[in-house]
Amino acid sequence: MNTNAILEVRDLTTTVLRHGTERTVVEGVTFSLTRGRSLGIVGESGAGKSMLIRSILGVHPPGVTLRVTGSVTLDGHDMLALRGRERRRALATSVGMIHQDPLRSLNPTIRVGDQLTETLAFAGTATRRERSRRGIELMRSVGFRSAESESRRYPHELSGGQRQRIGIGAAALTEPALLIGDEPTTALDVTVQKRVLDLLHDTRLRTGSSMLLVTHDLGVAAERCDEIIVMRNGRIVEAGHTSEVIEAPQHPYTRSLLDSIPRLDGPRLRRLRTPQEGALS
Amino acid sequence: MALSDLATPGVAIASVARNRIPRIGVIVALLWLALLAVGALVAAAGLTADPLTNDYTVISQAPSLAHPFGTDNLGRDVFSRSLHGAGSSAVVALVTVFVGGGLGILLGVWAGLRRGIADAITGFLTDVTIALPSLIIVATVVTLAGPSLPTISLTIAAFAIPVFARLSRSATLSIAAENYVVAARTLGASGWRILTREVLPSVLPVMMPFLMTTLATAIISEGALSFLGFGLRPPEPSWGGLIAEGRTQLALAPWVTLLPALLLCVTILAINVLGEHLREAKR
Amino acid sequence: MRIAWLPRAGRSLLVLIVVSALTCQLAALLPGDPAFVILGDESTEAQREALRHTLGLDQNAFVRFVNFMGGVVTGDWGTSFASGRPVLVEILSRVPATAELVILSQVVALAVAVPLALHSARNVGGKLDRLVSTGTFLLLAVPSFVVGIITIQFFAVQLGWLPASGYTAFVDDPLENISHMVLPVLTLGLAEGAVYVRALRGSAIEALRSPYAYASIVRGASDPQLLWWRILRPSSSTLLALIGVSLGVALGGTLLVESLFAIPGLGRLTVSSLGVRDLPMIQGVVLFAATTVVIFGILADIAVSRIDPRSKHGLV
Repeated sequence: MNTNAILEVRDLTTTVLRHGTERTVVEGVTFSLTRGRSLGIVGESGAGKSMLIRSILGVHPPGVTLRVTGSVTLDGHDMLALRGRERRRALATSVGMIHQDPLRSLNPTIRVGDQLTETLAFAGTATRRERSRRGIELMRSVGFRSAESESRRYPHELSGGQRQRIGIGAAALTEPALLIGDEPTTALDVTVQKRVLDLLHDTRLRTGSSMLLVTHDLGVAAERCDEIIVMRNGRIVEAGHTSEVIEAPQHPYTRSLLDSIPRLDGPRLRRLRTPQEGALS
Repeated sequence: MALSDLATPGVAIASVARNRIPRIGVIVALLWLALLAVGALVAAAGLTADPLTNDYTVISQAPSLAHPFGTDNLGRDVFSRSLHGAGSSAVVALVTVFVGGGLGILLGVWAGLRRGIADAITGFLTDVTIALPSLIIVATVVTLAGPSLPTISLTIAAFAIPVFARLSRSATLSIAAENYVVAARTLGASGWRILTREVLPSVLPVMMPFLMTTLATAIISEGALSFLGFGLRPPEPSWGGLIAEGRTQLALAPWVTLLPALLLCVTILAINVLGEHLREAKR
Repeated sequence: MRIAWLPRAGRSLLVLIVVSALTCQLAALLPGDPAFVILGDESTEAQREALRHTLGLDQNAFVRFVNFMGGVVTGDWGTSFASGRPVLVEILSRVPATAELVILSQVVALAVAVPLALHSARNVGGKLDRLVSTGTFLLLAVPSFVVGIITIQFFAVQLGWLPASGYTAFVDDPLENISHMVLPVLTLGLAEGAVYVRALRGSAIEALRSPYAYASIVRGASDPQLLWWRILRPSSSTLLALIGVSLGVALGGTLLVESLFAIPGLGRLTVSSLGVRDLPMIQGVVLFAATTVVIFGILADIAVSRIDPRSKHGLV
């Protein structure tokens, strides 16, 4: 047991029950994230990364029946056992999350300033005036120059990069122990991607948070994370320090992911090999 | 109220909610409608008791083998009257779907393909019709032109046209942008050919659930009209009329009102079940 | 939205003008001699001639339209055959009863429908949700006149709790007024409520599946906070449009419910005018009803643009 862990996941298994059939989407996942460090969760879409995050947080899509077993300890909270108000408080104070699609993860009918600080509104711990002041302050810190007027805008009135900066600001609001980025740059232009990742990094430095970065891009994880987990079909196929995973990948799937990263200094570009090929070669 | 539903696809909008219709429900609904159709035909062929003959020996009798739905205060057989009423409802419903739905779909497809002025005119006429209080207009027409099945069903059908026009227009617009229609056009296919070969086969399935909704609202509208006294003339049986007539004897002979009402509700339910099934199948 | 205003209002005005044109030709459009239909076969030719003159049937369609429109604009909607009073005065005197019935039933329908829809959407597939879905589906199959008969039979006749019919103005006797309103409001509200529940539940399920709902839950929203502060607003466009249509149509007269419960509103006025073939009155009622539909259509549009900022930019 890692006593200095911000997040400790043990044998987490999530099964979707539907029409009498069962499908295991996360299977026996175990890892821990040390306070202050960053972990990249890498895998192609459908590998179970998003379901892993949902299972850790205990927030599932509506109308889906699930069975979640194992244990999740987040910032000292037993997430699978917590219910009601305690759970909501644990989520609000310990977790800040940046979502994949910056437009769709912002409520179209709520002004961005109010969404940025909604954690405080839900907790009921700050007055409207305090929230508005805090929102403007945060918007400045994520690079909005005229924050007063921009905080009164609606999401559709902002650009993609601006929206994601709102998302990062909202995640940093309570200076949470853990920042979770669920493919935070996938929906953005390449030029905006780097700026958003840099901002995420700065924010982490400022709040002292640990980070869980979910991405399908091994290159991004290698650049931004201390450790890496590679997932495939709901299981962890490779885990370790970034340098180990990148320099001496153990699993053929990781090698194929590595090979698909375009490089300028590499020998030549190779096609992404399917793991079956990898296993045979 | 009921007739105004013709102008509001409220039930169609509400269908986003997913609740699965079980297969058995669809089968039961189909069986019920088939049974009702057979019953109405048998009654129309004169094989059941005469719905208009008064028999003072069996006044206000409770349901029995001889009179499954009992008799009313004039000794008329309520079951036979209900089946005749089913016939009238079926005529109104079918005329509404075929005439109102047919003309509406043609108009909508035409507007969607031609665009421009044709589209503008159709859209405007749709707005006008939706603004008109349909139940009042139908009642007025029936009052002034005399209550006959053709008058009632054609007037109700007229109010179905704009809604079908509006829906099929938007369906056409999305289909007309598809490659195969553009391709057919480029290949020089005639307007008629594009309409019958490419567009209608795609628009009709989209309209199916709404045709079912219209079937139901037409029956409810006819019922409402007869209930208010603007339907077929009193001795002629219709569902709304039967329900209205029985009201005065509700305490003494509840079957006179409640059994035709039940028949009406179950029929609407059966149609709604089929409509919901088609809507789910479309997804 | 502000720029799109003028065309919208202009179009509505044009719709009303066309409706007026159709209304004033109502008598002429139908087969047979309207004077004969109205007065019956025992009338004399002189009586019928006089009626044709009052209705303007002795003039051509255009002149009749111009005269009619002139009257409509100046507030002279004609004179009722039945009562001899001005049509507009008769109509306006009936508005309070209808308006009370309609507004109360909308309030009741929404008060029940909105929480039910939101909470069953939050627990989609759960016990409450299945009950609500099945219940509203069954309710949609029961026409309002059947609901009315059943409520009268049960609450008024068998239990004797409430009066079956009649109306007392609120200013005369508030308690009496409310007791007469309960059953009609229930009858009207039930049908509306079922439609509202299904519409709102559908949009709310969609909104709850969205990433922004996920985001709000992770930020610690409780179910009520999530539903009422974050889901209701983006889900209510369809509901608002439906309310607009319902209000517009119903304020023009709820024929069935007013007849069933003997409420002296516009619906009863319409039915009785039809019974005595009071043509000027019928024309007035049609025009009034069309006006309420058009006005509430515009109001619903405004409400949607208010509640969903995207609609101002044509994004919805």
